[in-house]
Amino acid sequence: MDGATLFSRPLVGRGVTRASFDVSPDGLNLFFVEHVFEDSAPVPEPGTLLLLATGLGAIVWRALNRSSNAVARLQKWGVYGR
Amino acid sequence: MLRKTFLVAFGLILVCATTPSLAAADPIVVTSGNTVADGDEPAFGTHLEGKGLNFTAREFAGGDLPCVGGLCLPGDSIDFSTEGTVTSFDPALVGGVTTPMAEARLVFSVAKAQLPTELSGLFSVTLLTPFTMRGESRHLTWMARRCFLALW
Repeated sequence: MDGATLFSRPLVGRGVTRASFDVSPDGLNLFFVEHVFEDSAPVPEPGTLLLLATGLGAIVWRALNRSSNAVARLQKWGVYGR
Repeated sequence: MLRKTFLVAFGLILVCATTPSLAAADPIVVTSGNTVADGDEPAFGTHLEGKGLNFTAREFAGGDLPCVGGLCLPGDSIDFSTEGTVTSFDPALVGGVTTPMAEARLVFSVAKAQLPTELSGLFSVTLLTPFTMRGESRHLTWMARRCFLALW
């Protein structure tokens, strides 16, 4: 069957396993077992957060740099208050 | 000049950091569903749902079950960790793509649970314990489906 695989995707999940047992004088017998999946929101990895923070920092730095340059230019042209 | 160099270096770092995640397929998160096995009767099933995922199989995605056939004793610590492969005979949706036949190999890591030590007056006991699952879904070709159904 492996040779006929078109493509594959990894799967992840988590949840609660529920196991029910019948009690008898001799011990316990498994009645049923169920793995019930729960919705788990993906948690960003530290690397992703660092990348995001660096990107945002660069955008803010650039915006601040541009605005200070603009103010300097306006001051140079005498349009903005001296 | 320094500023341009900084921007180019930053762009390169960004590209290098994101390329592996683009190249490797992101895992599909199973958000609901279950896989169940009855200890007494042959009632099994696996149903997985998530973003772009809808998979149903009439099998239990696990191996041999503990406490079936051989009784467990009060106070026993039980490990329900298991793994197995299930096959969907009906069209399945995996990764947003509908496929006539699919397989899912699932590996469950279940936290060990302990049976109560005192059972007097009890007819049944239910244990709840958390699990994590990792696995892989495989899309199979029409040829594989025909061969599989012929063998079935």
